[in-house]
Amino acid sequence: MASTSKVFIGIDDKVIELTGADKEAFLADRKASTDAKALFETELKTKQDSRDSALKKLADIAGLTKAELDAIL
Amino acid sequence: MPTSTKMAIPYPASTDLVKDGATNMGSMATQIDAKTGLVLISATTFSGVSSQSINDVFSTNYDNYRILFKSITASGAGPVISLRLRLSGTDTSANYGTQRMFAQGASVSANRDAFGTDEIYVVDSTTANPQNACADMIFYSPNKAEVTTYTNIGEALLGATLYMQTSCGFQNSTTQFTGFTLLADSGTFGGTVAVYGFNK
Repeated sequence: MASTSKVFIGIDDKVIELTGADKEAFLADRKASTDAKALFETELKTKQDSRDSALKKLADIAGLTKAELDAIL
Repeated sequence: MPTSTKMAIPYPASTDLVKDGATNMGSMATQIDAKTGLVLISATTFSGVSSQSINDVFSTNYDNYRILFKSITASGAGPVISLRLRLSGTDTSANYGTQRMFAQGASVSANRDAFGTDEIYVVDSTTANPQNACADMIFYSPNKAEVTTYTNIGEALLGATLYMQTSCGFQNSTTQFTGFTLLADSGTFGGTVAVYGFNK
């Protein structure tokens, strides 16, 4: 389905509105970029959660609070 | 002929003959061209766009360039700004490589090609604090027939947390680029972008 939102781009000191196929191609390109960034952020959060979980387990074994372990690390 | 204090640029003395004025001024202009370190090539202010292209700023006049971006406005979900190099009015969307280090609060992370190889990540321009974002980029040899490399440092305010990111990388072709495009991943953005050439 074609997007109803307007798309404006700047070229040097001019602003032009993209329409038709140019507009849809631009939006598709930007969506691909947004999707790639979202995927990256999800993977990064998974890694950080995994690291936090491992640190908590390590702190429990060592008898330290996570803050104390963070201070050592 | 006397010279200026800091750059030793010669200028006509008050006692010089008027008939020599044009020659002396020409000599002074040549010296300024030769001794100025950074030369402003282009300065553009824009707003409310999904992308902003800057054409015809890379040339044989300089090898290396500095690009300063200051965010002013942003709409939508808080656009992430990226960059593509450009030749004769067409963006190049392949063969980029980026290594990025990202610090937010006490957390630091690093990654390679986090956002793909079709563009270079520049900076986040948050909707809540768009004027708290900027980026300082240096591009090496974008207009020479060799691989273009770059370094970049940016900062932004995400919520109450200040973050900074530094990145570097390349566009792995020998294309002789003449410009670049800043792109928002969503929404619109605005700001100022200035391009300087390093004298050589």
